[in-house]
Amino acid sequence: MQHAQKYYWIIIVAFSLGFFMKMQLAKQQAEVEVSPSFFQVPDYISLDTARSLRPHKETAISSMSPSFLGKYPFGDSLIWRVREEWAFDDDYLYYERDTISKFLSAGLQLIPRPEIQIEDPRIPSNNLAYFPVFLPNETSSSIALFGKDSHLYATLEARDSFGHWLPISYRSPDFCGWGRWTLKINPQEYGVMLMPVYKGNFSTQLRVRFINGENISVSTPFPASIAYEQFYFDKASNDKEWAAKDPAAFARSYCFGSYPLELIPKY
Amino acid sequence: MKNAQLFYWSIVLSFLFGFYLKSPFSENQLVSHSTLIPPKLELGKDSAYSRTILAYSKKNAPVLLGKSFHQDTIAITSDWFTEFLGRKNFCRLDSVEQFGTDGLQLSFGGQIDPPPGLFPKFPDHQLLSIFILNGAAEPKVLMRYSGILKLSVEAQNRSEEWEQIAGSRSLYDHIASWQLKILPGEFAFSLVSIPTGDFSTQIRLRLVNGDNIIVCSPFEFNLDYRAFQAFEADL
Repeated sequence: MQHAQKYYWIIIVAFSLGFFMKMQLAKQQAEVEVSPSFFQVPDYISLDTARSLRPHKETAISSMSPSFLGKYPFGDSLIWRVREEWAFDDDYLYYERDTISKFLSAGLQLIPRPEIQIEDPRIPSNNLAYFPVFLPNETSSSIALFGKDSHLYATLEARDSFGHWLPISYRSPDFCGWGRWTLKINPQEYGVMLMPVYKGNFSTQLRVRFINGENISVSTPFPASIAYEQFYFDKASNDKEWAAKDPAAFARSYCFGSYPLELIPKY
Repeated sequence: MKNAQLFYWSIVLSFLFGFYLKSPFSENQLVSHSTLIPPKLELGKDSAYSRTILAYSKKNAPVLLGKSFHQDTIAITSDWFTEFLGRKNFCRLDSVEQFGTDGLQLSFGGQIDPPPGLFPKFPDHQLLSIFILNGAAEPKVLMRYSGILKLSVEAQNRSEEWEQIAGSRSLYDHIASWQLKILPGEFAFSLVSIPTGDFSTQIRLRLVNGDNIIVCSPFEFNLDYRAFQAFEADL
C-alpha cells in the first residue's frame, strides 16, 4: 500500500516536472523570438556619441535633404553601419518588376525625438547636431518608403508669433531624375531620418512635414528655439525671386503644401 | 526487477506526457497586429437610415458614420456618436495636437446594398464602404468638417491621370468642427457611391485629415465614364 502511494506520487511529480520545464522553455523562446509589435524608441543608438555637437544656426529659411539612416527591426538598439541603407537589396521595389502602386504608402508613424541629438554619419566632421525622426510600421502590411540618393522628403515647420504654422525649410532643389528609390518597410520595422537641431532667440514649437508618395504627414509639435529670420528668405540670395515666380508650385513641390511667410497669397 | 522496470518507465512516460502536453499555457504568445478584415456595413431600415442617406445626398460628400472595434457586421445608426460621448473619444480643438493626425490607413471595404432610387443620376452604381484604421499604438485624431469627411474618390481617366469623380469638392479649406479620437485598433467608417459602367479603370481614395493627406492603394473598378464629366459639371 505504502509502495503504491510512493509510486503514485512519483508519477505526479514526474508529470509536473515535465509540464513545468515545457512552460519555462516556451517562455524563454517567446522572449527570444517574439519582437515587440509596437514601436519603442531604441535605448541605444550607436551614433549617440559623447562628442559635443553644435546646433545649426540659420538666418533664413533653408533648403533641406534629411539623411536616411536605413531601416531596422523593432528593438532596443539601433546600430548604424556604413551604407546601411543599401543593405536591403531584396526589399527595394522596382517599377519594371514590382507593382509599386499596390503597396501602401500611408500608415507609417512619424515620431520625432528632438531630445536625442546625434551626428549625421555622412558628414561627421561638421560637428553639427541632428535629431532622429522614426518612421515605424506598426501595421500588418509592408509599406513603401520613397526616397532619393541618401535622403527622404521632409521639411520643418515652426509656429510664428501669431501661432501659424509656417515652413522654415524647403526641399533642396534637385535637377537630376536619377537616384530615386522605393524601399519596403515591413511590419515591425522602422525607417529613420535625421533633421537639424536649430538654436535661436525665438522659443516656439516645431513639427515635421513628411511626404511619402502622395501621402503627407505632419508630426505632433515639440518645443524648440529658432531665429525668427528663418521664416524669411535670405535677402542676399535670389531664392525668394525664384520661389515667387510661382508661389503655388513652390509651396506644393518644395514645402509639400505649405506656403512660406513671404509667399502666402493675399486675398 | 520487473517492478523496478515498470516503475522506471512510468516515470519516463509521465515526464514526457507532461512535457509534450498541448496546453494553451505553453503555447508561444502570438504577436498582435492590427489587420483590418473589412466588416459588412448595413444601413438600417429606421429613421437613422433615411437621415444617413439624406446627409450623404445633401452634402454629396462622405459622412462619418461611426467607429468600431468589431469586425463582422456593423449597422449604421445616425446617433452613433452618443455611444462615444466623453473625453476618451473626443478631443477639443485646442488640444488636438497632443494626438497624432498622421499614420492612419485608408481602404475600401465591401459593397453595401444600395437603397432603390436614391441616386437617380446614374442608373447603376455601387455603394462602397470606406474604412479609416488606426493600426498604431497611440490614439489618433480624425477631423470632421460640418458632419462630413474631407474625402474624395479619384479615378484614372483615359490618359491614366487621376481625376476626382466623387466626394468632397473643397478638400483644403474650412476648419474642422470637431475631432474624434480613433483608439489603437479602431477604425472609422463611411460610404461612397460610384457609378458603374464599362470603363475598366482604377479608383482610389484621398483623405485630408488636418494637415495630413492619405491616399489609399488603387482598386480595380468598372466605371461609368460619364462620372468624370458629371463631377466636373457639378451635376
